[in-house]
Amino acid sequence: MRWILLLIFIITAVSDCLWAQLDRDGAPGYEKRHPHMAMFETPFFNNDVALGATYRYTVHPGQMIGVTVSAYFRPFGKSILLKSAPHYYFQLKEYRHTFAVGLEKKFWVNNRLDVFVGGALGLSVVDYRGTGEGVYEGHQIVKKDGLTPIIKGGIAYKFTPFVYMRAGYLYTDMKTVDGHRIYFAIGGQL
Amino acid sequence: MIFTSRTGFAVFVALLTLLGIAWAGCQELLDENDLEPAPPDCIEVPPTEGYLSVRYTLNAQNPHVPIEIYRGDFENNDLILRDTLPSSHNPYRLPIDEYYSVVAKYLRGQDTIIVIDGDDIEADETEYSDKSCWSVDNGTIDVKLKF
Repeated sequence: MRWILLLIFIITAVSDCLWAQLDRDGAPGYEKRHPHMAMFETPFFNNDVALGATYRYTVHPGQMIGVTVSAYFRPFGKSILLKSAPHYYFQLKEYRHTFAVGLEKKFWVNNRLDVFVGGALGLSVVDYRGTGEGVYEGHQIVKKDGLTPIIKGGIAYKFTPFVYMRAGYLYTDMKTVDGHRIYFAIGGQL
Repeated sequence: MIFTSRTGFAVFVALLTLLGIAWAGCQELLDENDLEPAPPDCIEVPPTEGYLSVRYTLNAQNPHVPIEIYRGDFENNDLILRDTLPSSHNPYRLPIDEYYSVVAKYLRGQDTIIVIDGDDIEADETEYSDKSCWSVDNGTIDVKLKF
C-alpha cells in the first residue's frame, strides 16, 4: 500500500511536463503515445455492489477508440428469488462474476475532461451459497448465467494525465436483479 | 523537473517504483521478526468443534421454521440434523473444518419459499513469538426471509 501511495505521489509531482505534452499535439497524439489504460471500477445500485477492473488498449488513436477487457465480481452475496413453479420459490445468496471484452470510444472535451461510451459482450457466471444446481422436493435450482451485454458511458476527469476518475452509468443483464448501475472508476493511463 | 525524452521519464518512474517496492518489502520483513508473545488465554490444542449460528424470520404465517442442516451443499444429501426454529440448540455445535448448508422452509400466502445459505466453520492458527494459538472462525447462516 505504501509503495502505491508513493508511486501516485511521484506521478502527480512530475505531471506538469505531461500536461505540456498533451497540449503539444492534442488528445489523439497523447492517446497514441499512451495507449494503455487500467481502471478499478465499482458499479452499484440498491444495496448491490460489484468490484471490477478494466484494461483498455487504444487501437485507433485518431478516433480515440480502444478495446477493453473487463472483469466484475460481487464481493457480498445478494439475496435473489428464483421461481421454480407457480407457487414454489428458492431464495438464494448469489455471487455473480462477469468477464467481458468490448470497444470503447472517448470524446475529448478538454485536457481534463472527456466523455466515454462503451459496449462489451460478457460471460456472467453465478455461485449460490449452500448449493450448486440442487433439487429440493422435486424442484430444480437452475443457475441464471450466460452471455450478457455491458453498456457504459459517462465522464472522465483527469487529476493528472496519468490518473483519472470516471463517473457514469453501466448496464448489464444481471438475470436475477435489475441491471441498471451507477458507475465509478479510478484509473491510470500509460 | 524536466525530462528530455519519454525513455528518461519511464526509467525515472521505474527506478522510483523499485525503490518503493524494496522499502515496503523491508518493512514487512521487520514486521515478521517482531512477533508478540502469546496471550494468557492461548489455546494450544487445535479445536475440533465450532458453532453454526442460524438467523431466521418469524411472522404470523411462520411462527415456527423447519430447517435442515447438511454437510456440504444440500444436494449431496449428507443430512446432519432436522430442527424447528426457534430452538434451544441454535447455535449448533458441529465439527470444525467443514462447510455446512442450511435449508429453511417458509410460507408466504399460497407460496412456498425455500431459503438456502451456507458457511463453513474453520480453525485459525496464529503465530506468536513463543508458540502458536488456535481460534475458531464460527459459521453464520442467514436464512431470513428477504422477499
